[in-house]
Amino acid sequence: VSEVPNPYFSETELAPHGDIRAAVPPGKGGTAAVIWLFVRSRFLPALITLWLISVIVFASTHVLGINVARRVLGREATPEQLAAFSKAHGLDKPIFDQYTSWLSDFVKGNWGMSAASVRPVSEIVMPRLVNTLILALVAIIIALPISIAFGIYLARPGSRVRELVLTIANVSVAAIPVFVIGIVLIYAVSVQLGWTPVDSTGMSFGSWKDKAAAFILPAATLVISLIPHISRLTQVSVRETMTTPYARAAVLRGLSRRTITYGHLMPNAAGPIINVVALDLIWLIGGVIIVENVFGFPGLGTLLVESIGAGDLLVVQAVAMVFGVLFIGIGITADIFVTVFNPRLRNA
Amino acid sequence: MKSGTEDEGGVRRGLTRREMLQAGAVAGLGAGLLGTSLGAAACGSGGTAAPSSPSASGSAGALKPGGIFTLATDQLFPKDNLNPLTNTTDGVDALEGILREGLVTYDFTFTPQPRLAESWEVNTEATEYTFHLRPNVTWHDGTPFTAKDAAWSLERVMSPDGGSGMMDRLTASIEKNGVIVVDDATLKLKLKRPDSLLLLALSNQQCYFTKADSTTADFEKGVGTGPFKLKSWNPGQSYEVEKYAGYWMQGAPILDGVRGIQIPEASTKLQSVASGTASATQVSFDQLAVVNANTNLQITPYEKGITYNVVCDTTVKPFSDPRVRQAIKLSLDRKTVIDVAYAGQAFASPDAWVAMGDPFMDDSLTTMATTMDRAKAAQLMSDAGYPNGVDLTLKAPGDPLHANFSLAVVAGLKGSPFRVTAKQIPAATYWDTVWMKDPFCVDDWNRRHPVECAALNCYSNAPWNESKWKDPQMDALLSKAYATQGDALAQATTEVCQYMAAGGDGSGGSGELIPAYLNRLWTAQKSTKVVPWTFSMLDTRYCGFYA
Repeated sequence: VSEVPNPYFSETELAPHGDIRAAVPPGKGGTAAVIWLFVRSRFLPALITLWLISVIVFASTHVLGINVARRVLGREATPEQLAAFSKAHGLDKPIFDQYTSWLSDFVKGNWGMSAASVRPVSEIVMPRLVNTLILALVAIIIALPISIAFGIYLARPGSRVRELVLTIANVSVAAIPVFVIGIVLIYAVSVQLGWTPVDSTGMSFGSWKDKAAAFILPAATLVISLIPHISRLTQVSVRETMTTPYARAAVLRGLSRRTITYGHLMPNAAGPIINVVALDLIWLIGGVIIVENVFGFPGLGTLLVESIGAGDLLVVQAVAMVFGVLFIGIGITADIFVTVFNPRLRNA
Repeated sequence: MKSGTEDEGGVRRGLTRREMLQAGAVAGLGAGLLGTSLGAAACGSGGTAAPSSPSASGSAGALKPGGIFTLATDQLFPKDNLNPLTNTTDGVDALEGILREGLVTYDFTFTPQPRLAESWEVNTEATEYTFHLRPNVTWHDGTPFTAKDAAWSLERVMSPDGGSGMMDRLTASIEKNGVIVVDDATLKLKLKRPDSLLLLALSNQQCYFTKADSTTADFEKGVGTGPFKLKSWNPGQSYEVEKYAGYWMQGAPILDGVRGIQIPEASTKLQSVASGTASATQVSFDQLAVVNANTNLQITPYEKGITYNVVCDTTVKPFSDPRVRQAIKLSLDRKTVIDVAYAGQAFASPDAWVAMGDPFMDDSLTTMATTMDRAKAAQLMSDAGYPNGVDLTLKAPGDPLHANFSLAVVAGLKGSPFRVTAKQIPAATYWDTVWMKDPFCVDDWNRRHPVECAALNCYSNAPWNESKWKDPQMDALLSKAYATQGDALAQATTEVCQYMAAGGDGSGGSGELIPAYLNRLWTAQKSTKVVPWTFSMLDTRYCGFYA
């Protein structure tokens, strides 16, 4: 099926907001130019953003006034013991010196030694990061096809009553806080039915089956909270493309519903969907903080909360930076995917 | 003075009838006494010590040997370490209490009990202690435990470089070079002042033993002499210990192993026990109704494990006037505080480090703990120049227990001359910015001997004299208590409590407002035996599953 040119919009106007391919001037194209534009428009701002994140994270953890020595040694430590601890860990130096020292080490991959646990911060953070990424990926891999299929189903013309009921149901689920979904699942699936473990203990002691079981409820919670959002956006996006002249033309040409949906509508609707998936991924990384704490899942979320409570500032800073990198990385990846998936931009 | 001993079955010999009755009266539960009177003191967050409770779940039925006991907690943190001098969290306290042991423990009546010291003698001046160590005790790596290990560990506690919160307490009493290894099985402590309560200090968890010459890396291996040895430990996430076959007490432990898991969410923790994934956990007072509604679950309290108190600075107005201190103590509705903050799970206190049912409570202290007289309070305030009362802001850490307590105090003083509003401060900064600085704020103290507690906060130069109360007579009473033993010590303890609560004639006592000691609640399935040891840990030697 050949692509039907859109007579109403220019390529630039059709490009998603901020798409770098659209910014390449006519006649100045070429791979090198595109790469340079990509670097200029994406990576440099990303680096500046990361630097700003580092400043904000470092400043905020210090502005809070958390006395690391006190948190580590406890309330009964004497002033002399507190001073000795601070000196031994460089906590008595001016904040600017502490920041520059931390940042220069951080970018070299040396995330420092936790003053509290006397263990390398990377050793504390990396296993939790892996757990969180696996959880997030499992959730998005399950949620994405279900959400898109559901969104397309919602977008198709049908009974107004059906649409109303499903839309209300969708919005209602979207309005439920994620921790409530988690607790309801625990009660229904684990306590009442006994199908899954309540918590993520299996991550620590179990076989691979127990470890897999430990993912079920946290992932299910995330999936349930993701589906309404992605499906709603898919519904809107597909419905918009249904009203376009080329869609109508495809119908008039007698193409099958499947061909129209997956050959014409979805590629054009993909841009907004990818962007919303990217946003959901970013939400997901943040959302796991809550979900992990509900289930006791050993990921970055629980690590962040526990480290803040324990005053383990180096770990807090490292986790915050990891979150920053993930947010920015996901945003850039989404831009790339939008470019790749949009059939008009492929030909630009 | 000779100690009691502990037989192989865990039944304590030398328990006097009086102690038995006292313990039974305190707990209202005689059944669990034998199994739990062997409990040890331990430091909680902040390193304070607490005696074991005579409460224990399940008074009938035999335990089946073996099984893995899973303890769900929200107190494991990535920062945790296994250095007994610097770990400060309840979760690691529980693990330390499983892995390591000290010379002595003490029971719910504050009577020292033997652990790695089989017996001991104290001279009449209470200035020299001689400990006879238990024979055939080995470390988890199989090497024998000797007096050299004990001495090395105690000297670490006393070292300024060790970082121990117990350093000041021990160095105040023990002479420099006063820790003497007589032989492999005998340790002697020479003191520079009389200290009849040294055994209680030595039962603190920071005085638990590690192998001589251990390095920081060695601590993390968790080698101790306890009933279980470390199998795995993932800070902030979980730990697992397995039965130590070489444990000195035959027949103990009953379990094959213990696991600790971190579950931050309170309702998930509870459901984990309800579904059988976890064996036991602590629950908050607002979860009590949920537990009671579940016929498979039981509650086992650790009674009077901790108190939340209000600190009134006695050096600034209005509390510099002893009449105002008297007035606020008379104004507080303790029953309201107990009902609002603790769901009734607490014992009233007379603003001293004792509570109803304690061995040192006499009639006068009981009266103070149960009497509210607002008419007299109003008169005292009028006499002090505050006929219209005073407006105060009570600062508290933002965590639920402290915050709820501060709100309960507001409720307990409602309608009195003290119009109080509560203000919550983030817990991460509270202890540095408010505690020991603000004139009206909240603190908490683990349960320990009243004299030990008073010595820490009522001596004129005490390290945590929160209310900045300085009274030579109180200093004299404390010094006298430390120099006495036996029944004289019990009497001196009561006098310390009386003076702390009310002072001499019209002196108002200290600036500590201590409404009640509260229970910590453990829940488990009814098929599980739970033996609380301290407010934060179980005595896993005696926990198990019914046949």
